[in-house]
Amino acid sequence: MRYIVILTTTNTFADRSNYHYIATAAMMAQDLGGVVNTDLLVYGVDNVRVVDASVIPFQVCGHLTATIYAIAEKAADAIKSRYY
Amino acid sequence: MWLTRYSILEQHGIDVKVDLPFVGENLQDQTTGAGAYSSNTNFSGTADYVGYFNVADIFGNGTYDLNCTVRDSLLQYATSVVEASGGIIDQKVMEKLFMIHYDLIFKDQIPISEILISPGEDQMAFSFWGLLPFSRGSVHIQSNDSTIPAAINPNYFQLDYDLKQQIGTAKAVRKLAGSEALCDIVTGELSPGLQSVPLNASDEVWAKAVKEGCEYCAI
Repeated sequence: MRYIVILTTTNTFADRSNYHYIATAAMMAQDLGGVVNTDLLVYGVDNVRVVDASVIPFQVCGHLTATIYAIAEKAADAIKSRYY
Repeated sequence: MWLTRYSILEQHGIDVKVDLPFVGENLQDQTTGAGAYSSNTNFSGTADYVGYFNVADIFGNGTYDLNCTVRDSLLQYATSVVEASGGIIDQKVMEKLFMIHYDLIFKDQIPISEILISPGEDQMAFSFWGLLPFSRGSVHIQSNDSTIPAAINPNYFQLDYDLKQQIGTAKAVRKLAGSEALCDIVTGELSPGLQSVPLNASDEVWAKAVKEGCEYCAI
């Protein structure tokens, strides 16, 4: 929580980035502008997956990290089921 | 492997294998602020407390009016995003996505605000976030050299709901800090401070405070 200490000592109320950028390769139907399918595979490509916060189509309430862990677990399952 | 929209790839001399125009669009980030309060108590170690608030918690009796305003603005919000994307995003698609977004806030009433209290030495920090911004930014390459950083435009406060959300959350921070539960240990407001944001401050004054120093806000 280092960043909070910094903000406190400078007494800054100002806005900053939350560095929780999402949705730039969203898991959605392709006709809605989606980039990956429900197995995290990029549309139009055989074997490229995106496994990070960019696949989340809408912001989550709270911190992203737990959701990203869950996505990574799902990706691992999808890859294993394809090859093993 | 390059993923981004065709025109940008072409511009940088990259051979396009699959055209996925939405790549790099639709970027969403939450707006962040932090209030600071003096305290008569020294807290050591890490003891953060977090709370989540839905639209009714934040706007109370004003929720109905806000609901109507936002609902009536959805088509314009979609148009603004379509225009900002240079027409890459389809109007009907954006309207559909914003209807889902609107339902999350006003029908399902999932949290729109997060407040994190971090007690410290003679001070307490109240970090806060507006969680569900409508604004949409983008991230795109600036070069075919992968060591050149991408251009990131978070487009904060592009759409007016987002500013209302952030102001509502900032006001909730002040209310929380002045609540009965905390009045024995919170002794004063350091930031934003009553000089820059008086108790009866208008939303214009609050807006200035929550946007102060914002480098990436929409113009």
